[in-house]
Amino acid sequence: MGRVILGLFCLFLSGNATTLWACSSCGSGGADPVILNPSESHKLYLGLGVQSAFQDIDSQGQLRKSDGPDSKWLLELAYVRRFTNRIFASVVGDLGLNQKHDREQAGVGDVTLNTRATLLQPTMLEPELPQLQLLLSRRFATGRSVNQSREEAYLDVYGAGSSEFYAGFDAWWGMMPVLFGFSYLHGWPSAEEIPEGTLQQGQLQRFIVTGGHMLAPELKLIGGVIADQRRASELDTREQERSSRRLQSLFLTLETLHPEGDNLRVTLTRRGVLGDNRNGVSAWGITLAWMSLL
Amino acid sequence: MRLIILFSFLSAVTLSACGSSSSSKTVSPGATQDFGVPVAAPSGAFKVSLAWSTDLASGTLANSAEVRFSDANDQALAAQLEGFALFMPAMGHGTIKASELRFTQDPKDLAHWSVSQIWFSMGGSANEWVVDVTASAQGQSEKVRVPIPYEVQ
Repeated sequence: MGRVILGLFCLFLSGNATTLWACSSCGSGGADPVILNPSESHKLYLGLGVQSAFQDIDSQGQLRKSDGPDSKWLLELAYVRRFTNRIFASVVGDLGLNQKHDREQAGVGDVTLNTRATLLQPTMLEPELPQLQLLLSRRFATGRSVNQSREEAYLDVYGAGSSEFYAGFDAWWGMMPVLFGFSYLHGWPSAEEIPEGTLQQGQLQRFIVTGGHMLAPELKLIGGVIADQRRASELDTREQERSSRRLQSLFLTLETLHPEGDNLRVTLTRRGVLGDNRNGVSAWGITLAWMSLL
Repeated sequence: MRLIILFSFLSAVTLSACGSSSSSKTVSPGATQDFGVPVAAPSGAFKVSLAWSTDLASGTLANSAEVRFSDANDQALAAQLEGFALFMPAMGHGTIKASELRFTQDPKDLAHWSVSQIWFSMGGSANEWVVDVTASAQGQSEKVRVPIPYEVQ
């Protein structure tokens, strides 16, 4: 009886229905960009984003002027499909456009395959339980990387350079008055052949902490922190000095949550802005996304 | 509630941005012409040392360097300079425009080379960039990594 009262109280406070409204990493930019809610089976995602105000962060943590593009546009297309009640997968591809002064160049970026398995779901009677999902992803290095670049200001760079396998989890309390959750992803990058030898980037640890609130029954506002730590890289099995990376970023996302039909999401990001950042890039970004059930 | 969330986000962004802005001290290698400590090839066939002729800057071909080869006793050693590859170990990448590099050997001193039109693709603190010098001397071709102890603006 107590749980029924607590559940009704939570739903009353949140103005929420019986759905879970996404996950802790959804809309953060730190994981797969589109997921399926429990009642959905197919969805299409189209996102248009731009990053600008770049500054390099060196191994001492000092901010420097960037010699790269002034702005990087990204057109992202994704399709997500449910396979069972608890498992769905998505494929994500993108097209980049880099601009510097009056020059610009476009190209294909990396492709990612993502799978989520829902291990635990709260119910109306147990709203205090988190939604718990297992994440598995594989990024394929299909886009041109820094080490393959031929253009001044890296205008022709759209990819990370190495493929990477990710595994992690996402815990989300989406039926409470205050939405909150956290995610963890671990990345194992593949080795990359570069002119200087075989480059093995270090393993990645990514933490995402998210909080938010339902502004209206079908309008969600969330924000949070993404903290990346990557171990030192190796060139021909020799560890490279001061090559470990740290990057703490902020995000704020406003998203409509119509149970049927189309939804919109706008995400504001500020990369490399919190605490001790090393060997990364600081930038502002904004992404507008459209999602449609098929 | 929504105002509190918005205010918190914007405050965090503003405060952290203010706190992270900094710049490092400029060093002028061109003023010293210091060849520094020679670095020995793995086999010991030669040693190599570098002196930077100009203040270092990214995004320009105006950078140049002097390369000097010596033997185990630090005596000048005639050598053939075969490669001069910049690399940034911390970021895991080199630079572009390697085909623009110009090598000139001093006809009166075969141990002395000048390298011009050097392009750094980004700035960095002292020792952030290194040069992998490939050269042959005494019948042996080898690659030697030489640090750049200067800031690249």
